[in-house]
Amino acid sequence: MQEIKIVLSKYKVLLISVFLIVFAIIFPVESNCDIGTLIDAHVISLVAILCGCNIMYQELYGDLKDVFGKMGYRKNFRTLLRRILIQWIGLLVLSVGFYWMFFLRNLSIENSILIEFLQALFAIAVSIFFFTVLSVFTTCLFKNQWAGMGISFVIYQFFNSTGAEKLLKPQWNIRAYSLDSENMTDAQWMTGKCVFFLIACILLLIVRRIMAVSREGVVIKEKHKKW
Amino acid sequence: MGIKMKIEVRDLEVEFKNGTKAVDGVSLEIENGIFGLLGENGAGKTTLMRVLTTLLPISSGTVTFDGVPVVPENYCEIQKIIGYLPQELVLYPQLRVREALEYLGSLSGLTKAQCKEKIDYYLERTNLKEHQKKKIRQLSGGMKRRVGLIQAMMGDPKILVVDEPTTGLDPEERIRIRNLLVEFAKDRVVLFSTHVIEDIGATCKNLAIMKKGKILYQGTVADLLRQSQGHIRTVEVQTEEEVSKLNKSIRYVQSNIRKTELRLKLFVRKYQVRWMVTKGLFWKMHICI
Repeated sequence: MQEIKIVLSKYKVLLISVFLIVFAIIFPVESNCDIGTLIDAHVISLVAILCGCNIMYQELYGDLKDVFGKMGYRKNFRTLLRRILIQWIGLLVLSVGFYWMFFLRNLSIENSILIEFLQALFAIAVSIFFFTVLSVFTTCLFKNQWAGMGISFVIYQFFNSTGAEKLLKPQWNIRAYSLDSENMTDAQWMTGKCVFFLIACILLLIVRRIMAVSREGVVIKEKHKKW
Repeated sequence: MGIKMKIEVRDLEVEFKNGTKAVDGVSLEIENGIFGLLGENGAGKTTLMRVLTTLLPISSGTVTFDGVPVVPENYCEIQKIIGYLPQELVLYPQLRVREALEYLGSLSGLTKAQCKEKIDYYLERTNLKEHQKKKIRQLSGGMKRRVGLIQAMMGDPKILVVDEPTTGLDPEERIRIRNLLVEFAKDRVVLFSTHVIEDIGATCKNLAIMKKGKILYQGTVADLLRQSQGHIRTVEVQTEEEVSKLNKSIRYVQSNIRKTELRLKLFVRKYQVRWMVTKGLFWKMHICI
């Protein structure tokens, strides 16, 4: 319960909701197929980056690092995984609520509402996970929240750019679901999303390694004998 | 039955990559009870404490807890027996006192029942019971410090390391905290770092004085006072102007003393001066010659 309060504080939830609503106004949608595209490509990834960079920054590098440093990296990594899960679920629930809010407007219904929703849900879920983990990874790598946020944002922009569309095959882009490619099947973009899910898992393992070896810059003069 | 613990530090060095030697050849022996660590800012006290709590690695030298060396392979075991109150601790402002303690307690491995028992006990002892439902951000600085102390103690650590626990507390609270630490230290090691001489005098039998990473003195408080006998003159002054005039003449006298004797006397005198000035009624100054 306390962890939920830490990860998804009232103000954070409020800010995310306002963020989602503002984006909904800026990017209007015409059909139910556009809703998932909007949320996946333009909204939730940015939110995941912003929320991910401070998910455990205070505990690892900030004011609480001495208290949490004493608990050991294994416990801290388990805490990190729990917080990522809580954030993932929280952002997913907000996205679902946001998704269905669009139906209050006059939208044209192009495909099956349920199938479009489930596909969008899958795409959004992977995007949230990938960009949260990416943000955590870059923050831990540079031990700096702002560097973590900035570099993750640059990577996010790369995936959104025409450069990525030229360099990467459509299904190997995290935005594959949102890309308007006639030659891409549902199975292809879903496979691409799964690959990014695996990449995020690998990044998490690297984060664990960073946490295990991370010690302040002390010169080690003597290699300690194994007792 | 008491828990006996001995901390041995041998020729400890901690050097940072920027060339700063924060701890330089420190050797200490710390046994059950409260051990005071006195020193000015930048003396190396916090660095030493962070080495003992496994937050910093050792550049060279050894630290052992009852023969168990403080090396990365043993960090897991050592971390279980240590409680630490850092110099600066900012807990979760949005959580209530009880919630924050329950959260940190559960992360430390305590069960719900153990958490509840410990938290109830320490909230009572630190006079925070009536504030337990308040949010951390609503507490005063002293209350936050007490919450930090509870999180360090509630895991029943064999070794409690407290870095300036009485900072920001009023005199009554300081006495309460000191009494709590004295009771806690009956069958444990408490390493107590502070700037406040009165706290050391009231709680510690043994102490070490650090300056620029080195130990200037290690021994009992009684021995330290015995060594300073015959080297102290007392002058009573009434105004601040007289205090600053005397302060200047002390510095002049100091420059005529051999350097080898100077360091310890200066250190002791500086802290005694500060202690007496805070007494309030009369300003007394101890002059070392």
